[in-house]
Amino acid sequence: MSSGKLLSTDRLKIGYEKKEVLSNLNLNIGSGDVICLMGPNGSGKSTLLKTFVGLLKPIEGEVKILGKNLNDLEPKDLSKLVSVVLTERGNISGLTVEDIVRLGRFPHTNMWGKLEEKDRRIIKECIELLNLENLKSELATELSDGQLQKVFIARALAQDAPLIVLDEPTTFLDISNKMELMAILDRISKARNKALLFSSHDWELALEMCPKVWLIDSSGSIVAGTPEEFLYTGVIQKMFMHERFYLDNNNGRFCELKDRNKHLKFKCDNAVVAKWVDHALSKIGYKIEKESDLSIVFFENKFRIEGGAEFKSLSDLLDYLKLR
Amino acid sequence: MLKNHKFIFIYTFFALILLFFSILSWGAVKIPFNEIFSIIFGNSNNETFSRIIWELRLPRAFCSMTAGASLGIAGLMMQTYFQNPLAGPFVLGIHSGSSLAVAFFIMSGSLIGITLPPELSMAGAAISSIIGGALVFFLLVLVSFKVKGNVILLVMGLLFGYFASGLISLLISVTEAQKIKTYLMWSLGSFQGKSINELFLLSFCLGGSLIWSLFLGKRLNVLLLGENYAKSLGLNFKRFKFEILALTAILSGAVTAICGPVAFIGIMAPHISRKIFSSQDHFILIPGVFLTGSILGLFAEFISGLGLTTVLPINAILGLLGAPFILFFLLGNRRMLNE
Repeated sequence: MSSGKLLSTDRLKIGYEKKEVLSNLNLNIGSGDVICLMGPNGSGKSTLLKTFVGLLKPIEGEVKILGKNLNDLEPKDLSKLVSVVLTERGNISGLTVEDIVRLGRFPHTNMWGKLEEKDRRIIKECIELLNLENLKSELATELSDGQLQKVFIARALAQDAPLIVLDEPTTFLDISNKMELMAILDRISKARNKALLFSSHDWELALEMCPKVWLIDSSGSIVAGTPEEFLYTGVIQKMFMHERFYLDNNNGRFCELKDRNKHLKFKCDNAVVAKWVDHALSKIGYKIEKESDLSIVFFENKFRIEGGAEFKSLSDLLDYLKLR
Repeated sequence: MLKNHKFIFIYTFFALILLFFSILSWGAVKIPFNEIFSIIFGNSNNETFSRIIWELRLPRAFCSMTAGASLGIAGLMMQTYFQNPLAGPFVLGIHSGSSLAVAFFIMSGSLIGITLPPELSMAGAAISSIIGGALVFFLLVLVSFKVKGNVILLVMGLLFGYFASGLISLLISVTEAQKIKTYLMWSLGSFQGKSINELFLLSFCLGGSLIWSLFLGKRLNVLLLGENYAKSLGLNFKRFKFEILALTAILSGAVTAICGPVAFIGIMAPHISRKIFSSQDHFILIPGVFLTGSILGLFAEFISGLGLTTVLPINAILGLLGAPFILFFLLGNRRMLNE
């Protein structure tokens, strides 16, 4: 997919005046790449993104975009190379969806902000690509988080820069909006040949949907690779290590380490039900065993303790077991 | 521009004209509208009416209009720049800075024993007022880097106001009576009795700033998204900041030097314009604020002249209008109250 180098960094060190955040960064973005920048909260994701947009100056080393050093670029020229979707929203009360997308054309219009034929066409295309046609005259303050996120992506897209940088675009979205957003990012990179770099702390999302990930490692540098690779090399375990969690190699998810010292026997002919009942039991310290003096039968959606009480739901059963 | 914006511009312009002529007509001596027209077009034989119009009421109406428009535009610039709907030259203490500088200028003469000719002292007061306003603005910019809250900036303005009036009281205690009177008269705020030179200075500052502010329109629009977005879109923020600083200081400084510290127009006019034009586009808001600011200035002056025998101070009327205005705005804006 990646063809031609769009952005590269050379021994880049970034951070603030008094605090160095990440160092020794040698990274590359090719045009058309979709890259997820992974790292726990406070690991320096926003700092890197802000550096790429020119909002922060690198401490050492350099960032080159299309062969030009980012530090030597005028703000206006940089804005034609990188656009951004931030977590902040500004003072958008009174602005419509179309107004916001229009502001993306700022670097391309004349002193009076007059939109030419080409600008209008691009604005229209960006609105269509993000399925915002029905909302374009709505006030931005009336929209949901997911919709507003799409509006700001359309705005960044209208800026027409080859690289779009997004800071935590999925954080406040529910699962279906997250999935939709990922599909949109993919669509943008394909339809418009844009490179996208977005930050996230959502490991499962990256594992599920991103082929390319930059992982902020424990030494304060960044390794580039695929999430699966991080799994079998053990990088990810080290990064998110916590005494209460382990990484389940069956599905790549982080699971809580549970103390399952009590056991029971569970009879059920539905494997799916058996699997999830076992999962629920793990939360209260029970484990399903072949032999146990406590035996439970699942029949006609009811749980019956052999020679004892009957429960209509799993939660009733759990309540009972907790008190035992 | 949308079609209905044109209509709103026409309506507000009509309201402006109506108020303007009401001020010309109303007063201790009532002059009918048709008489006013013949005076303006030079067809009138009524010497008294003619003098009242040319020497008293026309300068007064013109002054309230230009001062109102100037303060409105200064307020709009400040509200967009600070991303704070409560910003304005009066509430944020720009006026206090100007007052302090003018007080120094008027009263320091008596400390070193110099009396300037009137023309020079007018220019001097204007320049002091602009510099004093600019210094406070600069201070606010510095503070706004450190603190992000909307209300804290307002508190800063109030505190600076107290500080300035403390210093002015000190100055007054060591100054001769005549100069104190000049200062106190000035500090009440008035659109009346301005010379042709003063009016010329006001309209020169307003005209220049109006054109300049239109050149800032595109950049003001993009700042609605916030400073970071604006920068990422290629806005040269340092230069922009300087231009806003200069513009606000000139507009507010010129009005304050000539009319005294005029309250609340700067904060009200932008809100009214946003409401009636239902737009955030500065290419519409700047001319819009020009009109609504003018109307507010004329309206306050008209009310102050209603008493026929006594003229009410302009700031009394603006205070009665402005304080409830801000209160209602705050109450209608939960997010700001809870900040």
